[in-house]
Amino acid sequence: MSAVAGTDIEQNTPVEGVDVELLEAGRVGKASRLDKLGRETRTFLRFVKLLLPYKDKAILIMLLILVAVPLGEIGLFLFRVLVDEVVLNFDRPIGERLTLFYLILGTQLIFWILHHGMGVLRQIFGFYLDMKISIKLRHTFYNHLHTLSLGFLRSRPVGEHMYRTTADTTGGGRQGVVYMITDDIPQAFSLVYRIVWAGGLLIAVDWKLAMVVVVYMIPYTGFSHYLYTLLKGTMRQLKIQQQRCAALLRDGIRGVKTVKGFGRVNYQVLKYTQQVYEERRVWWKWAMLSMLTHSIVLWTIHQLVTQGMWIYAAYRVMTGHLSVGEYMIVFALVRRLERPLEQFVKLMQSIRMQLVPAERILETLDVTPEIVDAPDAEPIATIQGRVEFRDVHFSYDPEKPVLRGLNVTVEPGESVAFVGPSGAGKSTVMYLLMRLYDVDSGQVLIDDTPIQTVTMDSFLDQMGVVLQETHLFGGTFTDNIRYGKLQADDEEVAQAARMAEIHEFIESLPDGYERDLGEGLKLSGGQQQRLGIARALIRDPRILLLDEATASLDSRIECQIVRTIEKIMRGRTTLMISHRLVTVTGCDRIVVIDEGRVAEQGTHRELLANDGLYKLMWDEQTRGAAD
Amino acid sequence: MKSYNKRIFDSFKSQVEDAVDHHGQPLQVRQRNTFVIFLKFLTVMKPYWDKVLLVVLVVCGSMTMNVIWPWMGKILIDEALPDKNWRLFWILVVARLSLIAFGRIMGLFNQFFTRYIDLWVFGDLRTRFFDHLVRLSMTFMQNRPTGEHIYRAGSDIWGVMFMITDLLPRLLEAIFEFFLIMILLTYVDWRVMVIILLYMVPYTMLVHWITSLVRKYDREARTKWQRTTAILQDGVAGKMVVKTFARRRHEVRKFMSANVDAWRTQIKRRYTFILKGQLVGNWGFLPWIMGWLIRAWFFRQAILGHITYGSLLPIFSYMNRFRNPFQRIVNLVQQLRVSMVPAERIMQTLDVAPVVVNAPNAPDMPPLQGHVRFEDVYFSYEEDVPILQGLDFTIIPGQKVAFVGHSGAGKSTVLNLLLRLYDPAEGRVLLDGTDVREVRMESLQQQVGLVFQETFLFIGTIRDNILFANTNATDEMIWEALREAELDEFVHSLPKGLDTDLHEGTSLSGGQKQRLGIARALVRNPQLLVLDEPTSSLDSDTEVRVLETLRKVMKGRTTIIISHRLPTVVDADVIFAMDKGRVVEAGTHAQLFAEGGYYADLYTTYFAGKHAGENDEDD
Repeated sequence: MSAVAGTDIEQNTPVEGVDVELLEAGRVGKASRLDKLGRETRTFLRFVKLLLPYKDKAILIMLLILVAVPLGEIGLFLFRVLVDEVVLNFDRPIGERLTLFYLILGTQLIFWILHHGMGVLRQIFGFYLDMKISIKLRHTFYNHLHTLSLGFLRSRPVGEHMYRTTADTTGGGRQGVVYMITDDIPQAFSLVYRIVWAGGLLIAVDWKLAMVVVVYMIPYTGFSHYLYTLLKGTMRQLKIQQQRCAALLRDGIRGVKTVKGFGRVNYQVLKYTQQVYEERRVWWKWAMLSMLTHSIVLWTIHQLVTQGMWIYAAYRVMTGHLSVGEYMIVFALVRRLERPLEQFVKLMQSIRMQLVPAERILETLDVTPEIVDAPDAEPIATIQGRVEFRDVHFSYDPEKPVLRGLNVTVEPGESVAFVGPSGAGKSTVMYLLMRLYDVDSGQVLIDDTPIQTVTMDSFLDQMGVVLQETHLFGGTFTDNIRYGKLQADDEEVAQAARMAEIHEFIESLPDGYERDLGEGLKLSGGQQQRLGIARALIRDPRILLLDEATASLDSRIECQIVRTIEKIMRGRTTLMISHRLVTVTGCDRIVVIDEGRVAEQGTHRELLANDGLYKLMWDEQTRGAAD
Repeated sequence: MKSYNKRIFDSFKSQVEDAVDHHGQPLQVRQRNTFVIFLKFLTVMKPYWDKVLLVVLVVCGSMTMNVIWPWMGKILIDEALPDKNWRLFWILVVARLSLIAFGRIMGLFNQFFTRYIDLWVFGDLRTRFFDHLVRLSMTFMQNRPTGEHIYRAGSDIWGVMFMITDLLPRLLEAIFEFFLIMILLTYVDWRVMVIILLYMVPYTMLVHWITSLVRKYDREARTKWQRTTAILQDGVAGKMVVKTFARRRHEVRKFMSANVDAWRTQIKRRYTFILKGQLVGNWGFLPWIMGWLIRAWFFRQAILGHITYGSLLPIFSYMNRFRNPFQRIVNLVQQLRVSMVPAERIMQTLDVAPVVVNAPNAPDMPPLQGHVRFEDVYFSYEEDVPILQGLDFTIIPGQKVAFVGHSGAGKSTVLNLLLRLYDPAEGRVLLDGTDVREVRMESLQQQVGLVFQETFLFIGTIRDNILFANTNATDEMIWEALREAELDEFVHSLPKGLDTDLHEGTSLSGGQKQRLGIARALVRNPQLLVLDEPTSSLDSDTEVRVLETLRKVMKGRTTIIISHRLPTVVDADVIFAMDKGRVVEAGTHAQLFAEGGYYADLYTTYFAGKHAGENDEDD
């Protein structure tokens, strides 16, 4: 692990090694010369810029290509000399022919070694570029991802964010934007260069033949592209069918309990089978169509031309215009011209396909983080624990205001519970205090300082948060508890665990604190929450935030945890949210929120006596208990 | 479509019959020999044997034709071109053109049938696997992550398919070509043949060594990339924690150092690839130098006048191809070994026999009255962890019964046994006096109305999701069910009504989902309603409203509710309080509460929260 850092002070500054230019190029208001170009070109160029820091390596790769390609072509001419001058030139004395022969053999060997040596070098430099650019791109992207608002992160499934970070940058099978830059560009360069060489040599040997190749390759490429678009529709249908198949499969497996419980196994299997057969029907159609276009139509055209050329070349030998050696290499040259041409067309298609992940990456990268430290933000001093919401208005969606003028003050050391009907904005209060969102108007103050004027990390570091579901990271118990305070020593970890009353349990396990959570260890909901509490306590927070910390537990465990929580909140400012009123009766004050405002507040007893919304909710929840 | 269905159900039948033999045996995974797995998968080709044979013949035929052309080339170079023999020239031209045309026709045949076999075998394999999988016990399904099952049924089958329809034919082709060319080359010059065969010994050994090296780094790199993904997943899934603990830099650094580490191995892995390519690959050093030497030898022969230049053509052409099929065989065998891994994984699933199966010729369950009896039932999911220990109770038709208890008391297991998702280890489960094992389970399950804690919504429309429970339901019946579940107004308000697509984008609230689940249960108009924690995933306001609906729905139906949320159960006719796999108390809420026992304790904890907890320090 690279440097276990202590507190992170400046939230705004990216972690070292992030490509700032790539990040900022797409921001609104950043005018650039690229704006005039088409969208695809712009995307392409933005990623190509990643190469700039490594231009020496990139140039070296180009140079290697420049030298290596002609070597291969010259080898062909050696072959022609071998056939025409050595093997078939019976006029020359045998000794001279043999000397020439050995000379050619030796040259071939040297050429092979040079050619391949340069190829290896090129690959090695390519690896270097792959690695550097991949790491940089992922780094930039991932760092950016974590600066984005919770709203954005939640708007897409976890898997999609992951996919963009990994597969879209450098995925398996050389898919991904990085390979577009490090592979496809040199490849395109090399292909063009090879086409020029092979074309030039073919013209030198027999310019008429060269003309034929060029004249036929252009319409041929166009025609094959046309046929390809013909197949596209069917291909799209096939894709849809395949997705449906996969979806049904997932459905059947995820919902297996429902399927079994409802006695619908046969039904589900039949549905899947029908879908598989439907997919197969489309697939078959596609296979037959592509056989017709590629294996019959295109093939016939291609053969007509190639065989025509062959007959023509043989005819030219018969009439004495071409030597046998030239006849032998003409075909090699034609192939060397044809293949890169085809490959080039494919490469262009592949680059266009790679632009799709590129666009996806930019889609995330170009979102400007909404919640950042103000440029002149200072770290906050040690918090006393006074929290104030002053006339706070807030909405996620402008049409549906959530908070409408909330006014609450929590004194240092006080414990306050926020309750209210679902949708009243309880959790929002917490989110605003943690600055996961910014208020629309009004102010959130800690110790009378508006939180927007101080650095986020400096006050978050002094808060302890326990959420409804405690997310446990891969790693050991120690890793998970230490997450709250990265520089904590083992004693502090154990102390926090003791306060959260999970110490004995951890000690009772074979590896104790060093036990890996990933390996076949199932923690109960209560144990997970206790770990979450330990993680919050290790920073000895001045302010403790509990967001439905016990809501997912069964009532027996719930009341045990509530007891633990009551112990740890002594001496700290505590804000707590719960929809189960019985868990908050012990708080110093209960704030009832309704329709984005404080409806009433007071102790449990006072509120019951008040006979308002709280009393109503209490009765509803304890209905039946009155019997 | 008819014939499809018939084939599927035939395969069902054989599956079920197979399964009967294994009935009652514990889950077991047999260890198999690689070769056996291979043969087992080959049997999926059996229905298509005629087409397979045709393909093999066509491939062999066109390959034989391929060896003819180099000889014609020899004649062209040696006789037609130097002697300016126009007649011979035109004969050769026509022969070549007809050879090409004929070869293509064979190729088309080959392509057509190969594709056919491909697609059909692939379809069969997928449906068979899915069919098998969903019939396996819930224990098997839940022991592995869902993703793994999906992976097996998807990607792994692709892998096996690739092995059967791609690798295997290519291997056969290569072997045939190998022998063909070997014979021809021996005929041309047997000394060269001997040299090539000798060279192959060290060559093969080298390939083997390098491949094992490649595989080592392959594995290492994969592990490291998986670690990277795990860290990424952690960071993205735990975004709330990362944000609220201000740990962005920490996460980014963690991810980057994992990436750097993975790349280090990745580069090593790529170096081994270069080594492999440059040394033994198609254009690698060893094959090239071998070809170079032999070529030099023959050229020298030609220069010295021992052979004509034209006869070099067939020799070089065969030599090239000879090197080729041999390398192909070596490569293909390596690939085959790799693709045995998914095959093995699939076999692991296919080898597990379904535990809960219909008895042979089991009759259908007659229309349900709702009389439920558990007779001294013992059950456990894992050995050593008993769940039910002599559970015994009776439910009379029309009764509304609730099971309560701490988590782990075995409440949900009651449902699992009643619906025959599992069979009891001892004792009997009787429905209307019939042992549930003696009737066809689908006929029983389809008469029960079932609501789970989380209503699983299938891909499709609202209508599809309700029809799932009762495929014969008319629109009227669907609306009736929606009305009872009090979801009709909501569905009416949707622009597309019943045809609203429920795929991932359209989000129903938790309460709406549960109501849809209730409508799904009601569309069967069931005599027996089973509710498994129906409101536990809802917040308390929604819970109250959904409960209102449920109360209305339960009237006149035998109802079993399993819940740890006590407000759900207070008005039940009988409450069974369960602890450690037995019913410890039974009675109405008032009776049990007055008794002041286990239930009363549970109840006060729930409603009085921590205060009750404080009085009760010993738990």
